[in-house]
Amino acid sequence: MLKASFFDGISSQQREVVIVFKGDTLSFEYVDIFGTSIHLHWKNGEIIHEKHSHGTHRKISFKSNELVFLELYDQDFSELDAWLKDQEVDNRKYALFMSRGLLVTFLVLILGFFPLLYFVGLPLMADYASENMPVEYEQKMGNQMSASLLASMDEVKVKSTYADSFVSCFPDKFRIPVKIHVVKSDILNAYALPGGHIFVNTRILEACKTKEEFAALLGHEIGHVQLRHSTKAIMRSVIGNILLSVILSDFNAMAGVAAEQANKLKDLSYSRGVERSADAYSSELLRRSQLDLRGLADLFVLFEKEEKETPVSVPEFLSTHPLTKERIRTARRNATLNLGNIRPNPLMENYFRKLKSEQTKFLPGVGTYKTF
Amino acid sequence: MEIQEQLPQAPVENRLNFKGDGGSLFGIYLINFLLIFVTLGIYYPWARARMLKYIYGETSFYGSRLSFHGTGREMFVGFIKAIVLFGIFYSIIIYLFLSMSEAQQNPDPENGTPIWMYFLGIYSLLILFMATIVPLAIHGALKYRLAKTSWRGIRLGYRGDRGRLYVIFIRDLLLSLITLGVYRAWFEVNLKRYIMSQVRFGDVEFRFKGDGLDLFMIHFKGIILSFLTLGIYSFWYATDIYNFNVNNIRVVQKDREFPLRSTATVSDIFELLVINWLMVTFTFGIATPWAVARQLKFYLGNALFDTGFDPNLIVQTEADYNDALAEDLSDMFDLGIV
Repeated sequence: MLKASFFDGISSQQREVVIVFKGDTLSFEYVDIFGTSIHLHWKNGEIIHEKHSHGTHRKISFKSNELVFLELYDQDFSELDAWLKDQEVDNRKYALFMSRGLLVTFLVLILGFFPLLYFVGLPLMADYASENMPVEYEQKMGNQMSASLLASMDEVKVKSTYADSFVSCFPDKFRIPVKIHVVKSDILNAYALPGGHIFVNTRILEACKTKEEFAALLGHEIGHVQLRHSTKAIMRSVIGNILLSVILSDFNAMAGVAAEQANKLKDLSYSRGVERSADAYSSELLRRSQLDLRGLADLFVLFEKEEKETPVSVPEFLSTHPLTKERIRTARRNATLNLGNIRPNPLMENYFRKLKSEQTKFLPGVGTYKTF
Repeated sequence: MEIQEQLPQAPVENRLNFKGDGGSLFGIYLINFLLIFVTLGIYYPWARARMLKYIYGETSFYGSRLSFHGTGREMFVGFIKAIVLFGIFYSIIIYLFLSMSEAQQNPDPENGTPIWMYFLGIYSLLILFMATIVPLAIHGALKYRLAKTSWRGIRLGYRGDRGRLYVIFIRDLLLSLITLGVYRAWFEVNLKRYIMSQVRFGDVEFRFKGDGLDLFMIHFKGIILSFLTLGIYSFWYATDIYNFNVNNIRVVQKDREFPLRSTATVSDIFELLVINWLMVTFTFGIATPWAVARQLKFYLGNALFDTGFDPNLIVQTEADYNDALAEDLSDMFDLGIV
């Protein structure tokens, strides 16, 4: 026997009742507004039982109309708990097994699905998006990004022009046209933005001793551009960010995602595979240009040497371009195979000399530029 | 002890008494967060339903608990609609920002759109979005939330008219813009007055008797004195706002009007806010559920119902209602309708 308050779903009037349990049925009696005494019998399967305040407050409602219910508080509920448990005993084990099994399956599926989506689905989506993106759109994005990067940099415009002329000496007509920006910086680095913008730091230009080295460097970056590596990396980062903000329900963050990207570009890192395909592109380009492929190997050696001599200023290029003995070996092997295919290229040589020349500092538009 | 427990003379609980504890809330927060994370956000509506069910079930009024009958499934549909709406809005805004930055970088003085046009576009779009979505969100959220709330089996309900709400909202929004925000107090009061008059609790009705000028003076005094006292006055300011909101509510039962009476004092509010702030700050946010529990207890529990109000005489009048679009819309705006 338990005391409870009954509510009939019609008025808020509180009716004190006494609950009696018999078999699978719970019974009580109340007097309605017309003074009629009404007996109610609820079967175990017809009720919803709720606990509040750590079980000190209970609610038993009638399943087909939740507004009709019993409220119980401040008494010993062991009779009720025993009745509930007793009725469940038949199907309880099975239900428990089922629910636990379902929960585990669900968790495994979800936990498997999440990394799968993030590490496999995401790159696939990003690659699909960047491969199907019109070149014009990619260029538009690149233009904006390079403009915002250049705003905080010191471009040596004359050298950029010579570098563009240097690129025009390659026999290829590039699907995505290339624009070189030579910018003042003491860091040994060069990097590619989407849509054909290639940034070359003055420090690396100074370090290149031959036109072949410089051609190999540009070839590598042009490879990143034509193979759309930076676009893919950006798409991955953008889609990843959007996904994360959806998960965390942070709708404001989505707006910020697009804007953030430009500055991260300098620090984009590529996988070894991507670097290798850019290397391959570079040596193919040099081969077609009938240049000495040793330029690429020399470039790698240059970085290796720079790293040993001045470990502080170099690591940026190295960290994003894993230089391995194997990469150098591959470049040397390709160079040996190509030795019979070398023609002098005076025009390219000329532009390279001009690029290296100190004269540029006297030209108009160069400002306070001073050679290293 | 035994004898004392059997004495039936419990004090009359003539207020909403939140009996939940931070520990239970913390458990719900944690599980909700994990499930939202692993389901990439899809669990959100169910998480919300779970949280509301807990908070309502732990809120006692004249000895009986409130109930929340909404389900995650109902709210899920609204959630998807809300995401699409926000997605469209954000896409337009992002597109405008991108074209603006492009126009800034490559100025075309002859054919190009001037920069101020972009600013104007974005600004008016924001206001337009506010004016169209916020009333929709308020209306829908109230309608769904109240229809899904019951006490002693009696449903609450919102009978407001969406068109009427739009008229009030847009009229007062424009007046506030024109008066550079001075009209905001009247805006707030007019909105409350209309909404409150449309709320039903069975056959019980509500009125809001606040006056725009009073609220304006509270804001005016509050802002100036808080500024002059380096924020110390803000506790008095917060107390004034709470008291204004509570003391101006009238409960109408069987043609009799009863006022609500606030028991909040400055020292209570000071204690609530300062201790909550300390708790949250020094635990790096882990104590947030405990702070939320304290806050609910305070804000719900300090509005006393008049002794003339009879909790046994309320009769069912409201029907069920299942459209939950605005439940999530209002959540994204953080409208804070409890």
